[in-house]
Amino acid sequence: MSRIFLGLIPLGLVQTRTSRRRISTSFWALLIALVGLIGAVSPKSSQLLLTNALTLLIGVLALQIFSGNSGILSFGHVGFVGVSAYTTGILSMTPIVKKTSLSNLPESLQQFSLPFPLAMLAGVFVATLVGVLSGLVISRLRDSATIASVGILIIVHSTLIGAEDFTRGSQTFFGVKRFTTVPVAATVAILALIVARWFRDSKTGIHLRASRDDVIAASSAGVRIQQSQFKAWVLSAAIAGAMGSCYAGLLGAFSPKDFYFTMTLTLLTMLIVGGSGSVAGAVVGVILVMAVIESLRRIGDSIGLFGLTNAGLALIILLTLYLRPKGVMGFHEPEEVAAYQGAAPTVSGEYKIASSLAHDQKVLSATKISKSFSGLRALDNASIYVERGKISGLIGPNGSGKSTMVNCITGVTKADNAEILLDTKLFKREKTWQRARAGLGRTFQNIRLFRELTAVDNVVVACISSGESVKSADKTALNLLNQVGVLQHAYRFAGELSFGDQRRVEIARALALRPSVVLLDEPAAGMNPAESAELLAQFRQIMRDTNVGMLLIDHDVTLIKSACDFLTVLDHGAVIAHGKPDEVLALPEVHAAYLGWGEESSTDEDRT
Amino acid sequence: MESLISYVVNVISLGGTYALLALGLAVVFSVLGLINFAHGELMTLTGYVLLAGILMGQPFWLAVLIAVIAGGVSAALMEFAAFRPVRNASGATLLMTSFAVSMLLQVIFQNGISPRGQAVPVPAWLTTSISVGVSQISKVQIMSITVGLVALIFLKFFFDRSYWGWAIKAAANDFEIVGLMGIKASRLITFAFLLSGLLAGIAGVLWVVQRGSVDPLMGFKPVLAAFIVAVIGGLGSLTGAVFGGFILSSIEIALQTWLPANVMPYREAITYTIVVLILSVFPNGIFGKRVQEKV
Repeated sequence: MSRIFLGLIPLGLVQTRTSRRRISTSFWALLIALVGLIGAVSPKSSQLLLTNALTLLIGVLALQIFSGNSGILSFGHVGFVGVSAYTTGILSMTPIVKKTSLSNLPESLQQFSLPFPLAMLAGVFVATLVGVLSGLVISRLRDSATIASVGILIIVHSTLIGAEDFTRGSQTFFGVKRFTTVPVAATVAILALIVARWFRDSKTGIHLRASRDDVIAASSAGVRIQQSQFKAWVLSAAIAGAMGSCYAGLLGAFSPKDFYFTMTLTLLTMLIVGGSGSVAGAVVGVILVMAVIESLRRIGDSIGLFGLTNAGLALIILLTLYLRPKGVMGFHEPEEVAAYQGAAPTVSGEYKIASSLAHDQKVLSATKISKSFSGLRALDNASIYVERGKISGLIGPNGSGKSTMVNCITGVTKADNAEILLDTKLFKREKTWQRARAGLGRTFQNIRLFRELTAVDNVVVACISSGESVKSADKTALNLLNQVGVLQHAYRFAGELSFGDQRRVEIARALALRPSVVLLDEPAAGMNPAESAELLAQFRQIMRDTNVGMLLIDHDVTLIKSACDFLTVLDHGAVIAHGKPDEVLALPEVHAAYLGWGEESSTDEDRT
Repeated sequence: MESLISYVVNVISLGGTYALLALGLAVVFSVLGLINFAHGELMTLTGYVLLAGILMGQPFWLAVLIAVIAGGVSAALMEFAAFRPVRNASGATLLMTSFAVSMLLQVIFQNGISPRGQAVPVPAWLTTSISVGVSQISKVQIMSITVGLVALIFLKFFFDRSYWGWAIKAAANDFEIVGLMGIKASRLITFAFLLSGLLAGIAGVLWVVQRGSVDPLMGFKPVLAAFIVAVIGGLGSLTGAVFGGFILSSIEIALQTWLPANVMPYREAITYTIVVLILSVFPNGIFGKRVQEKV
């Protein structure tokens, strides 16, 4: 669907991230403003409809900020809408109205009344506060975050019912001035849209989208997932609050059940039908679903069927998920798709990652690593060293503990005991993202890229982790792609690249961390000897350029032999040999453990 | 003492129902990664089938049996009709699918049957109570506890001894291993839904008999609770589902019994706040293993 816009978007306007953001924000903002203008002069009934649609758009944008970027569905946002609606309602009501509708309100609040823009801000503030509190929990969760968000919705809902003095309980809360006119709703919707589109390409937004595609790869690229999730949650709670304050002034009277599963269903349907992955999707979703809801409401009124709207919403969700799981607009903004269809970017000038001058110096020493899995000793006091500008190799039969070793060093698995020193930094309880930012880059045995991001954005993720601004990260990332030879694919989605090119993007991503050490987990798996040799030459070149140390884990003895300066052999979790490759491979115990009684040529079958 | 006995009785009877529901959710989650919102509508459906059976003059035990079986069969049909097209999709897609199915079924019940609750005539012998010491315990509650505990013990044997039980436990650990056991994924998934539907059916019957009525939204709320139960127990952990059920029921009943009257309206909010706080201390649930992805 995004493609139908392609011809309409001039390529010259979408070449940088900033220009894309500007063009899309201006386009959608103008569209909303236009709707606002038309609405202001149209008949009362269509004014209500437009105000309702614009208000819902604010909520859908709030969901897009959190769920769209993180990939975690939230049922909790309607709770923020409710909290804010009630706050705005109570604060904007005049003392005279309060006397009749909220006679049990504490005296101080009885007399207190704010003009509606301030009351709206107060609503947003309270929703943000609830967002901060619930965010402390939500940010710690991943698989169960959605269910916890259901819990948050229930908590808010039952509190609204329970706090009778403030909310009239489950009875209708009334007397709110209907201040939400079309222009008011349009203004807030434009603000929400600017925030959502800005967030998408902010540091946190990019990091969050990386974690949506692959949690482990994201933390290995230095993404602080919990923190990103927290920021997005709080920001989206604030925007949901903005919806709530508009909603209060739109309805004038409401009750807690208005902020429960039916509204959740409506907002989620809009998000999913349009496509949760983009701001454009949120807008399109609202338009499409509003059209369906309106028609169904009219039909339902005429034939007297109960809950036809809900049934319709449920059906279009199912249809969307079956036929177009990423929604009408897909995961990307139209202007992004347009830019990615254009010519591949170029880089100007020679670029080199600053290299440290020191040579022959131990840059990683991971010693005394032990790890047991329910009694089984996977690693027993194993040690490995990497020097700057050198390649250390790690080999061992299947199940000898190589992967566990890598996981313990990178912090994916918590070692029972380990002394890991990277440069001058001693790792104790550091998380994976902290180790990555400290200079530990890695690639994965079964490539883990952020498949829905472009090749260049994959690298941008890691550049941001190493402290760059988004703008400079864009430049650096292109240079790094150039360095590993995939610049021509910079704008293609990582998932579409060939196997070899994906490997190269992974290496560029690892290098973007400005690492002192790169761990390469079977980088030549699935490659033929010519390709492995080419890859190896590339490693050497990178090493000359950047002076990193490399740890190469592989089964391929030929590759290991020609690549490595040192070699460590693991067997049953213990180091059985360490030294120059030729010498190590000649040792009888290495033959016995690894090469199977001297049959040196059978390594290809070993590879799994 | 009196309140303690009734507390324990209430905790076991409510907890047993939660545990059955959460187990049903956990079984399906193990094989498919799906958190099934529509589990509650299976419960509701069972209630309506039970009502129909009784109204058509079937003996109570037969009506119950048919209702429970209907729960199981509908679950398998639901998998076939609604979840098969999205089988390999992400957890979020699956969850959203089940949410839509749940909403759809609610509307169907509302229009096809009635938006209002229907009284279910429970046999008279169930409505009396017996006295234990000083406290009165209703026979419905005794039945609910007995059925709940028997079902749980049966499931324990099922998961420990039977082939299909092992297969589901294996799937909970690592779904790929099921293929290595020589079991067709489709068959295991169908079986898991069947089992989960039977469990929803038993829970549904217990729920309806205790309350004496069935309405279109009946199953929605207990299943929301069961979600939370499954999550605090540890998603996909079968032991966790059972313990989670009793943890939630002991919190709920304790608040219901001993909370001062002026904070009573906030009972539900407090219950769920406690549960969400438990979750923030055990992000993977109390019995959940830290998910170790192969890297």
